[in-house]
Amino acid sequence: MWSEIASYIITESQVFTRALEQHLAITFIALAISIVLGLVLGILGSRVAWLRETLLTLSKIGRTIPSLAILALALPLLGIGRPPVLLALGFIGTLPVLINTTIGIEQVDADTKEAAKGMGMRDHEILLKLELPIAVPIIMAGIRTAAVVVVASTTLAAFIGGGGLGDLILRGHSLGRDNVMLAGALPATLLAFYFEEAFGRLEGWATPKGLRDEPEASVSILSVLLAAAVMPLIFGVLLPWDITVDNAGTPTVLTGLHSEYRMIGLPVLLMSLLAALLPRPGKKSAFAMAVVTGGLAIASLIWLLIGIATSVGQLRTGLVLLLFAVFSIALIAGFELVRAYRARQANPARLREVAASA
Amino acid sequence: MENLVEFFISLKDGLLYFVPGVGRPDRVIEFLLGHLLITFVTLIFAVLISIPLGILITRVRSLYDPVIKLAGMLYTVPSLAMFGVLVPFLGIGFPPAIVALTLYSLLAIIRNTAVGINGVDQSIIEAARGMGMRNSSILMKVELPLALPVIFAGIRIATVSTISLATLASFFGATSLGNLIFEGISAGGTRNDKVVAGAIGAALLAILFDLVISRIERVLPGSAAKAK
Repeated sequence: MWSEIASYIITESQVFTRALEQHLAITFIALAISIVLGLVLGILGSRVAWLRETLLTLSKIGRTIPSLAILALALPLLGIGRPPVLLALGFIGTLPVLINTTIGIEQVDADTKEAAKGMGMRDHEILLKLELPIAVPIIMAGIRTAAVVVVASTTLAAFIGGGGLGDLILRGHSLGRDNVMLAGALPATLLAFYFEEAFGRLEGWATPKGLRDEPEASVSILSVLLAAAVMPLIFGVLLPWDITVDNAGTPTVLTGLHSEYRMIGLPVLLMSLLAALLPRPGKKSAFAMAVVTGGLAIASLIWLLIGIATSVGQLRTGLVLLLFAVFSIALIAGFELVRAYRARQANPARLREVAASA
Repeated sequence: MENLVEFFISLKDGLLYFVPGVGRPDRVIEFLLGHLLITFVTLIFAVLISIPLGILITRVRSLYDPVIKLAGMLYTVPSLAMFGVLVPFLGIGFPPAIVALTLYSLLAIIRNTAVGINGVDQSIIEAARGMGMRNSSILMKVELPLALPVIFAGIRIATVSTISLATLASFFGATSLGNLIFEGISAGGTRNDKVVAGAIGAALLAILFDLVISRIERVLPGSAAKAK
């Protein structure tokens, strides 16, 4: 059974990597749509009283609607293919972000807001400097829910022609080939676990220490790096690089899985998944985790460099992936800055200093 | 724009599918009954497994984390992938649907049972013990009744997720409102009314159950809404 699945993934690597690529592309685009829409609507909902009730009620009803029904309703609207999938998944993902943004902003202490107003802060300053930073943990929880729901619902995209790993499951089902079905189902499951874990870490890490449920479970920067930056790197190197057409007119698909790299690539993928699924590091295992995650990051970077060095066609995709990784790191650095800023603001020594100077 | 017009036309056709004479309400009722059957059988299994497990993990602390984490992992598995894994082993039809949906329902009920029981005020339990009640009667007469609203909320969440996932089960040979959706999809754009009818039917069913069970939840003794 296992060897059949592995042999399908390796021999049909183009089909598999294309499905994986579609799956990830749909997930990331839909998630981006959800986060932007959810934040905007959530902020609007916290500001405009009559919108609040409508948006929250609609979101709560929307969350009970089956995701298959939402995808099915997008079909008559936009036909088959990627647009209806993105519409439906964007809708599904927007709801938790919207709810959590509104609620997160509302739970900010009214006295604190009053104080900010008394200090002469204007409405947008209160929003940007006070409410959003305090609401970050709750918003992150919403984004995590959205990420997990979206990555799981992306498997359903295959029903309306959106591709993805669900395609393999459907194909396996109609062909009666169990190994094809499992080759779609198991990676889709791992991906969902991975997203749950990765965004759980981001959430834990965006939460100030005082608000954490388990204060002893520290979240190291490296594990976050693994979750957010190494993930696209590792999944990225598996994707098809490019399609070239030679002089005779026959198209060739250059995949990241050149036969000599396949044997390295799959273990790296699996190990990174395992490393991400390991328990979140406490203080004792932090060093070991750092070694494992750092090693994985270096291994995948080396692998990426090999990929880049082998052909010009791969160079472009390699650069795109590097940009992706850099973007992820920048995102994390941004979060880190916000958190450090907040920690400094709340630092007792600093507060005493401010009090003394006043 | 044309898309939008077509969308509203299929929306109208979809709603007409429920009307006797114009559509096929008999088929809708057949699928609805299948949907309800799957939902109820699943819930019976889920409750029978989850509530004892939920009680167990409040008694045996060391089991708490593993059980909740395992149930959480099961809940994270994408629904289509769950069927993709189960169908090779269990075949198609009713059994894999029940197994898959029961596995999804575990988390909500186990977690809410445990949270509900843990949320019972320690002094009430002390008082019950002082009155000479044994552990078993404390559980049956004090803890469970007080935890009932929270457990019911778990059952509501499980019901809603079961209803929505049951639509998918019909792709793998079970009978539910999903049959309409898949018939419509496989007709390749010519029968969008079926897609709409199935989707709206399933959505309404989920919303209806959510509303009804939350009403029941509110009249239960000890519910938070009533205490206000």
